[in-house]
Formats: sequence, structure tokens, C-alpha cells
Amino acid sequence: MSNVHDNVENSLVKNEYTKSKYIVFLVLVILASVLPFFTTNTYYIMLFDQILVNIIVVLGFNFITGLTGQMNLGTAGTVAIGAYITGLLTVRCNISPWIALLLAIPAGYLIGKGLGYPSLRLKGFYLALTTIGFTVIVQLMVTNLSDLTGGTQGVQRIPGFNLFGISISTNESFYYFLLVCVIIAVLISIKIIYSKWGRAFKAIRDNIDAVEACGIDVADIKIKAFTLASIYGCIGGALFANLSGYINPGTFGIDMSFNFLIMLMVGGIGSIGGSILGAIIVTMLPESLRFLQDYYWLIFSIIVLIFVIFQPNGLVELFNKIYKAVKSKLLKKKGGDDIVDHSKVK
Amino acid sequence: MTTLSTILKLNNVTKKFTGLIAVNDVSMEVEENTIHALIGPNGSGKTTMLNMINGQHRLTSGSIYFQNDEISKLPTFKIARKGIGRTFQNIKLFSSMSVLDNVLVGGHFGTKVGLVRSVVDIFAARKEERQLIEKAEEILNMLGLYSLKNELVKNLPYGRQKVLELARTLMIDAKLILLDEPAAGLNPSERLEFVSILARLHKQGKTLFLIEHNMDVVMTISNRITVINFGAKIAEGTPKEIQNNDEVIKAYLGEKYKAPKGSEVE
Repeated sequence: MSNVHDNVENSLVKNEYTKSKYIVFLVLVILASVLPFFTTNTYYIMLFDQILVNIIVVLGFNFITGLTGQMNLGTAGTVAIGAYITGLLTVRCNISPWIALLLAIPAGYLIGKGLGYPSLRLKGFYLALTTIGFTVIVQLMVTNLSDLTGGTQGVQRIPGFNLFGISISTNESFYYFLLVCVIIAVLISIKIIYSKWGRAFKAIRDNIDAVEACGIDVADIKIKAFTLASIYGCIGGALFANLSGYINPGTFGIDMSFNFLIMLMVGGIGSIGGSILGAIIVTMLPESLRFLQDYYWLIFSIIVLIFVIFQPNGLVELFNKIYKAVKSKLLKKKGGDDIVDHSKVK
Repeated sequence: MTTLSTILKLNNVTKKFTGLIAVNDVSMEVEENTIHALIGPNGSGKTTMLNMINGQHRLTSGSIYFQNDEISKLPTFKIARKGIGRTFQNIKLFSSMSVLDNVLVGGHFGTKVGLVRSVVDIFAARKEERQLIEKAEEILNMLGLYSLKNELVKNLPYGRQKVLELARTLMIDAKLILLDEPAAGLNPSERLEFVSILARLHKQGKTLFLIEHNMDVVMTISNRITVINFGAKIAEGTPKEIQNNDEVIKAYLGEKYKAPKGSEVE
């Protein structure tokens, strides 16, 4: 879970560093799996569930906006489509939520290809505008095609999952189910980001002309990143529908897209750890500010602004700095040993 | 005069930017395994020509052939895949990535493992990556960048960055390398090193087509020189012929570079 800006440290002391990354990941997973034992408040469990769903969406969003650097504000649209596929198929057609969840993958794929093909030829603001357009169109459609989607009434009583006859519809059991989903999503993200594909994504963010001169079809790579984002988004949407049991168009507005963007910015653009951190903080923060009542959105916005100004590479960089500082202090204590260590690693 | 040894051929190439004729009816050939220089005053259309060859600019009229295939209608990435690499006047590297990663991007298009397979089939992905890294490290080694392979590009000195751009073109197996002002901004010792690298690549069978303002560099390494002025070709020939061409001296070189009678130019 390193930041992209840390490539040097990453490769210089590769074994040590990757090992510590996996240890951090493992510790996080263990922490997450004992978390429900500390609270019996279903509201908090529900909040944790929401965080896990958001992590999946932000991990996907990270591919297109974090790594490839394309401003995509269509996230809410893809989440809406994923949610409505699950909602409508399970409620109207009595199809198993498992199948609906799996159908989110081809749906995301189709959105990625279908929307990505025309829009990713555009750059910067124009891409942002088209993807905003996509979100607005999806929201308008689910609102107005009320015969199909239930309109502003939304879809109610979306059933939970069943695993070999055991229902995983309680918040606690669903929490563990989501945790497994998040672990899979993180592992796939790691595999992609540290492969040649992740490298191509980052290269596009750094310099498009040079990528083309390297013989890489930029449009194709962008569409791949975008498709990944849509698939993650649709799956996140499907899980969201199962989690809340009720969806309506109002949830999937453009502010939802911005919310995911804020998560990525606060956590750390281009980083898996950052995506997770951002999803946790931005989901928790408004809840912990509720006591401010009417002012909480104001305070929340100010906090986000402060983050963006003073920590533009996200919170994850702060953690990395602390980690490095602690490490170098520890090495200093050992005295001359570290010099020998470094040459060995090299 | 299309012989087998012609690698790049420009036929009556013209480029107009609304009202301005940047390149006007230029025809020329670059022969295989030569170092061919393109010189001319500022704004004479040199970079525009390079941009047309590698597909960044569309031609207004005319055509370009690379190894007897027309490339003037292909997109940049397809031209690169055919074997034309290029470096840029204002270095274009992936600045947040390491030196090794920068070179590896050049190897991307030749790989086969797809996105889904690189997640599912870890072994194939790993094997492919190892082969890529081996090739990249060989190139870095040859160009004297190996010890810097884990360094971030933004921390490299300017001269090293220029060499790295060249390394990337080698990674795409370019047969023809277009160089836009390779010696600009280099200090004398860096320049000397760069020239020796270019000479080595030439020896390995690469064809180099370069734009350069430093006449010492141009006259030392090139086999053939084309001179353009106001978008039109005014002369072509060996360094010695160019140095004695009155029109070139008037338009660009100045009296200083006129070769003294009877002397050999090194």
C-alpha cells in the first residue's frame, strides 16, 4: 500500500518494503475482522458496511482518475446502474442476488466500453463534463422511467444474500461478506497497479505524447482503466443495494461522484492505501461531526479544503513520512549497521 | 531512386497551419544505417517535419513512406510500432516513475499478457515482466544508466534524462530514431558522451535522423545533411558539400563554417 511517489524507496529496498506493506495489509484485515466485536450498535456496523462498499468504488475510481489522471465524474452513474440491476432483478424478477452481483461485471464492462470509447478522446474539462452528463442522464432516467424503475419511490425490500442456506442479511454477517469482497478487490488492484498495466496507466498521467511515441494505444489503455472503474463501481452499487435494501434516484446524484473524488483526494491519489484511508475518513467524518448539526457540512468542507491545500498527495503520504522518519531513527540507533544493510540490499 | 536501402521517404510533403506554410513541398530520402541531420534556422519547420514523420501532425498534402509502407495516415502509436522512435526537444519522460519503469513502458506494446490474464495467470505475467526487465537493463547498461535504474526521473540531471529518452526508443526496437535537438542544453562533456552513444547506435545498424543546432555535432557525426529554410529544402549533401554551399552559408551557417579550400573536415 505505498504511494506512487515512493517508487525509489520501493525498489531500493524492495523486499523489506513490500514485506512491510503486506504486513500492514494483514494487520488492517485482522483489525477489520475484530472490529464488530467492539460494538453492538447496529448503526456503527451499518456505517462500517458503508465504508467497505465505498472502498470498493474508490479503488476502481483510482484506476481512471488516480493512476491514469482522467477526471471522471461518472462514478455515481455507474454505481446507480449496478444498484438498479441488483434492485430490479431481485425484486421484480426474483433472480438470486448472487447472479445480480455477477451481472454487475458485464454491466460495468459495457459502460466502460460504451461510454469510454467516445468520451476518452476528450481531455480535461471536456471529459469531466461528459461524465457529469452521464451521471445526470442516468439519474434522470431512473427517476422518469417510473414503470421500470419505480421512479422517485425507488426500489424497496431488496433481499440479502444466502450462502448455502445461511442468510447473510444481518449487518454483522454482511460486514464479513463485504470484508471478503474488499480483500479480493484490493488484491486485484495490487496485481494490476504493480503490473505493466499500472505502469501504462501512470505513464499516461505523466506524459501522453511520450506514451504514444512508445507505440501504446492511449485510447485503449484509457478505456481499460475506465472499464475497471466501471466494473468496481457497478459491483459497489450492487452491494450498496443489498446493504441498504432500498434505493432511490436521489442517492445517485452528482454530489455522490464528488464524494468519491473527495475520498480519493483526501486519502491519496494513485495509491491503494490512500483509497482505503480516504473512504474510511470521508465516510466517518460527517458522522462524527453530526453534533455540529446545521454546521456540519460547512465544517466538513473546511476540513477537506485544509487537507487538499496542506496535504495534496493525501493522508497516505503523511503516513509514509512518519514511517520513514521512524525507520531512519531506528536505523540511526543501530549505528553503522545501516550502511552495511543498504549495500546488501542494493 | 527508390533503392532497397531507403528507409524513409518523403514525397512532396506540405504542412499548412491556417495561413502559415510550415513545410512546403519537401521531398527527401533517408538511407538505411546513416546519420542524417536536418538543419535550418529557427522556425524553418524542422520540428514540424519530425512531428509529421511520427504522426503527431497530419500532412496537408504529400506522403511519407517507411520501408516502402505508407505511414502518413497512421496514428502515432502505429508508426512507433513499425519501428520509428523519437526523442523530444523538451524532454518528455514519465517524471514520477523510476528510470527502469520509463524504459519498460517502451516494451509494453510488444507484450502479450492481457489485463485479465495478468491478474489470473500470475506466472505468465511474472515471466513476461522478467523478460522485459532483462531487456531494459541491457539497454540501460549499454547507455551507462544501469546504476541509476531505481532513481526517480525527476531527480536525474538533464543530460541523463536525454540519454534515458534514447533508451526508451531502443526499447521499442526502433530502426529509425528521430532526435529533436539531442545536444541542446548539454555541457561539453555530456555532449561528447551523447555523440559517442549516437555513433555506437549507428554502428549497431540504427538509422538516426536528427535535428541539431550545434554545428560541431552535426558536422562530426552526420553522413548526410538536409537544410531547410522557410519550410523549403534549400540544399542536401555531405557535410563538406553543405559547408561549401553558398546559399546555406547565407541562410544559416554564416561565414565561420565555410570550409577552407582544400582542407578535410573531420
